[in-house]
Amino acid sequence: MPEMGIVGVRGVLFGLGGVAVVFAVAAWIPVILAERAPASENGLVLLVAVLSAAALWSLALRGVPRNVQRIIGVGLALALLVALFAAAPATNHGPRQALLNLAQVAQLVAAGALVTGALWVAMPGPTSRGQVARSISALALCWQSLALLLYALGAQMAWGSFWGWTAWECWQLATWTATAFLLVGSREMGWDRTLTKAGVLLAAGLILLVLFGVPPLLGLLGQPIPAV
Amino acid sequence: MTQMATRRTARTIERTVAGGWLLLTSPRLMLVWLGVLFILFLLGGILPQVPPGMVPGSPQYAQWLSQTQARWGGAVEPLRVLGLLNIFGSRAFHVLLSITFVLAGLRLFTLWVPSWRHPPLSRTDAYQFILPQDARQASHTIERALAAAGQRPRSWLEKDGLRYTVARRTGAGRWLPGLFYLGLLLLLLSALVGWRFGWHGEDLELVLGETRPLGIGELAVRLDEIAVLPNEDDTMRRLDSLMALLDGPETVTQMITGLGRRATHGNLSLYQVGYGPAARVSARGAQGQALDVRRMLGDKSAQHQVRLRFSEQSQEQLLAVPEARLAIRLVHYPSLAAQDIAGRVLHVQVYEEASGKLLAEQFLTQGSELSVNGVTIDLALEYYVVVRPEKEPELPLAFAGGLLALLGVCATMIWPRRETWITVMGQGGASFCRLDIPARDAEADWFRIVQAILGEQAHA
Repeated sequence: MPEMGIVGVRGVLFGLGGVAVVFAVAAWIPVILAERAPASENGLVLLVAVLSAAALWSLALRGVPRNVQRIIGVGLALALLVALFAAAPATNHGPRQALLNLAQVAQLVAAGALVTGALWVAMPGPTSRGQVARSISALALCWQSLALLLYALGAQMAWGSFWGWTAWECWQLATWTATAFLLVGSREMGWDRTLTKAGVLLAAGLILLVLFGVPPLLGLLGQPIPAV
Repeated sequence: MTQMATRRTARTIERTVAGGWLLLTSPRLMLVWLGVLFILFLLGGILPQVPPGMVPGSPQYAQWLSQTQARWGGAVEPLRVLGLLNIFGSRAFHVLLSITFVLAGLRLFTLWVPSWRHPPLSRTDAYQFILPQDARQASHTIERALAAAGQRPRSWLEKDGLRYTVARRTGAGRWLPGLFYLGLLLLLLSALVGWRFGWHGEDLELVLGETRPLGIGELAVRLDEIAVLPNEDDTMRRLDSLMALLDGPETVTQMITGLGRRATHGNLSLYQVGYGPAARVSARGAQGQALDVRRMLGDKSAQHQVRLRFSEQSQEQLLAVPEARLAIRLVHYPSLAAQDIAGRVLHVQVYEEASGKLLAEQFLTQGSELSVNGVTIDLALEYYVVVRPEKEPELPLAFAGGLLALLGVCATMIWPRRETWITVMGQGGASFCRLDIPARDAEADWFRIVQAILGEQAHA
């Protein structure tokens, strides 16, 4: 069984292409991302963004029938472009807003990777669960780390403090920790199939919860959500 | 007898140290640790936390606690007693961070210090083969095969006719993943530096011309000018402030701050962390002479021109024009749907001071003047800004740490840890060889290459 390559030339090219698309459309989503109210009017756009990122990652990674990948990936990427273009007015809030937006985009890319992994481990097929978990968790952890760093830079510029242990920041860190947990478990502990599956599903579920469920939850609890 | 006792003690110490080392660097402990942190972050995300800088016992803390009690009810008191309202400011959390520091240091040590060898910490798969060479030649053959997979054995050890060692990655693949732990160490160190040497003052609300002390020595800051840059659709693009830093009566320097634009002087940084609506009010008599205006609450000194802030706590202001016996009530609304006004609006009412009779009323969306009983009241809509002074010696360290941690995570993705434990036993003209690798790598491409190369040699 071939190892799922994540640093092959094709993978890197597809990955960079996908990321470029997502970053290019980031210019149109400041309002959606700054207001962070995805569960209401922006939920659909964010959902499309996550699925598109997932499709782009499935293009970059080997292990799934390629024709299906192409159709789903290209279709969803187009849907993302159209949805973002239609839904988000262009605004300019300066570099701090751009950094915070890019942090959110990086998190979307990470969510896409974890959703791809969750779909792979949930569906029967020849791909090794362990390989998927190792590759996906490492990929997602990179993007989540980038998201945290960009968020810290943006927060420093916007509020004069790069980390304030707010509820929002705690949830971000919890998702990072869950992915790191999956990475250590699958890569260093050699988890079996059941544990690996549970780990991937936990990490993917948590990042989706943070994107879609946490903003309304924090609103309900009266916890502040940082916004410029 | 004494020698035996000494040897026994030495062996006990050796075993204890080795056991401790294995425990502290084991992935199992790392998992447990991540689990503990995960639970803490979840608690921090769900439970209300004391805002940073708020000291328990202060009036602000009491106000925050009462607001929290209104939402959380009877759960607040038990949470407070358990220390769960201030998780990240508690001593227990600082102890956890210290333990994280130690664990990160140990993990970095295992990655970067080649002489420190440990047995496999996770499940392994064994690959056994016989090479038609003596032990030394077989060792070289294995070294060459592993070199094709980017690994190099450390120094060989020999005991009881066995040669054994561990091979690890070489070059960047060996060093770069460790940057994550180095970055984490720097991040934790930056928190210590910030706590010990950093400082941040209270948020200062300033209207134009206002001077407020910073809280360090004689230093104060004065807002001299505000520049608003609009977008094409008239929404605000930027709001920059020209500040004067004062040391007593002397102006030390002038600085420009803006949202997301820091101003620095020496080790002092000024952040403009917010802005809000303000109004400038002045009054003229029938002959155009300036009349005194004074606030009815707070600072009641009479001035020819008064600037008022409409902060979150106070959206209403009361003024008096004593010479004209007029009272002015100003209420700020972010928007007023009842009057069909979408943007900010200032509701101005002028009363006769003695009787309380309403003389004039107007909703202002921009500067204007009101004439009442021969007195002209000039009103202009302005902004106030919120400025936070800080000293942040930890910033370079923190961002260097963040960057290194990110590089380390990416390197871990590109160059995952590869280790091969090698055992060679020479017998006659042949060598019995065994490679142990983590079970996760049993079907990896690199190990297939190694197997293929060694397989050819074995058959030869």
